[in-house]
Amino acid sequence: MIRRLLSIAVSLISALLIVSCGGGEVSPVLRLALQTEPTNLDPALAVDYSSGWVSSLIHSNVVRFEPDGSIAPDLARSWSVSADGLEYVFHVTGGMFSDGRPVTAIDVERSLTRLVDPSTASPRWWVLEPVAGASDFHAGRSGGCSIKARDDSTLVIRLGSPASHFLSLLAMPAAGIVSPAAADSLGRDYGRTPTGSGPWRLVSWTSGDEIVLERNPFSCEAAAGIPGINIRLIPESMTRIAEFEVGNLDILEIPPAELELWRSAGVRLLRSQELRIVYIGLNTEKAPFDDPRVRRALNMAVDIDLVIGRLLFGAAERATGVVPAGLRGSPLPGPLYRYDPEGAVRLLEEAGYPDGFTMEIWQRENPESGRILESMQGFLARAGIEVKLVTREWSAFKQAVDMGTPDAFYLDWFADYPEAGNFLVPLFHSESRGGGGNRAGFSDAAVDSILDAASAVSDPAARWELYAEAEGRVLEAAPWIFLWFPVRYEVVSHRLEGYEIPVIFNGQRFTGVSLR
Amino acid sequence: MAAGTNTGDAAARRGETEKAVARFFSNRTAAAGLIVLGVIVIVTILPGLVTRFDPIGMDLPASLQAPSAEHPLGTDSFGRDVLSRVLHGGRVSLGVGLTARTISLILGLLAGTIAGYFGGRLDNFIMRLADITFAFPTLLLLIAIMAVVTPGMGALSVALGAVGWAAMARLVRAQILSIRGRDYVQAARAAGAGHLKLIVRYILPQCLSPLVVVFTLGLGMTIMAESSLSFLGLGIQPPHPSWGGMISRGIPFMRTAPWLTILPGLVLTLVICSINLVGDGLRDALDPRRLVPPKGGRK
Repeated sequence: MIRRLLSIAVSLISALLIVSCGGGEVSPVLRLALQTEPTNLDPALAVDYSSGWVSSLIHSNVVRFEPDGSIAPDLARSWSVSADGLEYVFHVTGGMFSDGRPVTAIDVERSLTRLVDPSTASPRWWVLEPVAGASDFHAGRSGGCSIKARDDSTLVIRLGSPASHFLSLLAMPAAGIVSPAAADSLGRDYGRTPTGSGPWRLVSWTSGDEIVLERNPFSCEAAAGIPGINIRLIPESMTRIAEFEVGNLDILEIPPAELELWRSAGVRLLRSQELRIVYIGLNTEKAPFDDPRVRRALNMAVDIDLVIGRLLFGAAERATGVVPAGLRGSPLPGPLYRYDPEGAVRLLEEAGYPDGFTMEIWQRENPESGRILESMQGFLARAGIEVKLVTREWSAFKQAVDMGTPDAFYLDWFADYPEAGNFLVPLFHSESRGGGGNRAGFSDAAVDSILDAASAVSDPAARWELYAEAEGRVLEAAPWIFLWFPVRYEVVSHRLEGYEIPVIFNGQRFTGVSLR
Repeated sequence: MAAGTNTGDAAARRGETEKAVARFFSNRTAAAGLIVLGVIVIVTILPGLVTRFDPIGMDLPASLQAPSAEHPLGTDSFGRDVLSRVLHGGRVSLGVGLTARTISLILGLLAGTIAGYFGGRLDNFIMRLADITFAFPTLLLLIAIMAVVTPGMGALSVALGAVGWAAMARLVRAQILSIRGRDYVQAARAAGAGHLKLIVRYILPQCLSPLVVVFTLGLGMTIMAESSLSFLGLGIQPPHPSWGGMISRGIPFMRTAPWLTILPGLVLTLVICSINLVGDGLRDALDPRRLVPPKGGRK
């Protein structure tokens, strides 16, 4: 209440200020909002969404994602891959750090080596794990790995074994190229004052308030449209909406609850199916969830279509598979589990739980997940399962889930790079159990061997065949309650042109947009 | 104070009570507060009088209906009747509030009596403990407590009660300090009354009026704190209704289904206002000379 009054007061005051300045001129910079504040803009240490997102605007990579998820040249204007798929040769030219120094292949070598270096302690070093010698280097058993600058403009990377998705890994925020000089002299402070060669450079970062970026004057990439980006930190969704409506933001994500309102207002909505799956993971190493019949029964006990319609207002597609439509080689299968409360009860009886049981579902603090889980609680109660919802702050939640403490947990997984394997392998390979992504502790030898075989196949169609087989087995085994793939809706201001919602979160760098 | 009440004479005390009741009802705003509060208490205790809907069971196809004849306050995003949830939520809020205040009262009475009556090092210790409690911002302290324990009605009542003891203790101590030296207490002591008898029979009855006032005024604050915690997700856990929880869950629908937020908010405001009016009325009625020391005052 007080906050709302304050925000009204603040907006009144700022309105007065604008009037008194005699302005009325709309700012020429792009104005965006972030829900959470970045923690660290050092690519090697940026793990959360906001950090990776801002860091990607400031740093360029060897290659980058286009908004549609395809790979485009970035610092490397061209590259070649050896016939055995092990040696990548990149031609690095034209990049300029925001302090005016050119980016050489040596800088790229040092920056990428820094990511793997155990003294950097990067949680994202695994991005370069396919590089020959990287694991040994990271474990401290050797002094480097196979990332070498042959001369100022040629970078050679050798892999330990073929990895068809290696270019995608290089396009991830963690593989952003930092200025080695700045990184060395600043140490831990680099994350607050980064120097990259991306289209934008950091002007100021006021905690809890605003991050101001201006065009990197030395980069030719940002020459288009706009002189800068102001990113305001606005945690409250209603405040972001209000700011957009008074014309203070150029892009707004519409929360599902407001969709109908915006649709009926005749606003043109941008729609994009995210490369993200939302699920309730079941702890398959813990009774009663070690019994597939129980897990199937849970899938049958919840009416997911109804929840999508009524609680998400249609802003999701039901996850009848685990790989989202954009990354599939074949259409999504029909639902394996239909809403069937009686069937669920019968299956529970068969599994030896005629009177149901009590379970905990953990969630992180988030109003939307609360609403969804409350509905799950209602559905499962009808099947005789009493659900206790446990809410924890993100790091406590993640720690508990990685350790396998909760019976079940509500979580999502979004693609780091657009590949079916980036869903199936981390989520269901037994080697990724725990923090690797397979938090349900799912372990199936057949699925493991299919996934291993698939990652060695370079033909996309043949690889998809294998992935589809693994997906089918996973659906059958039901280590999760499979929920949905969210659909994202955004609306942009009248003055913004050329913007599209990126498929991968760091795929939009605002170099192709302009302001009228 | 009149000598008649000091000696604990029953008839005189009854006369005083009647006068206080008369004074209370001559205060129109206080009387109005009591009536509003009374109505709300009755319907929250007996929600069946007003609504037949289950406050917890979901009916998703009926979600987000605007107020209508069937659902006078509309339905929430799960298709549950908002009126029914407001009433059941009120039961929780009032119940937690009363329980918490009672816990505060008991703790405060014990601590304050020991400190005020016996004095010395014990007094010093208890009052420094109270200072420490006061030094923490109440809501922050509550958030810290609720983040550690498993949230629920019991935990909430205990936490709210525990942080409220210090104000009560200070009040009781101040009262006792001013009473224990009085002639009639000395007389009783000289007549051979023990500590317990002195405290229970001769001293505590004198503290009653300000305690009733502080108890009531604090009730509003406690319900507000309960709602704040539930708003933050640290109080009453879903699917059980609570006003704070309903308000926070209604926010995403502020513009599409405003009744989800406004109506519980309105009822909450109404209840707290009427409790405060009743509290003010009680203060005026019980203590026409306004001898109640200010909250946290010493001596």
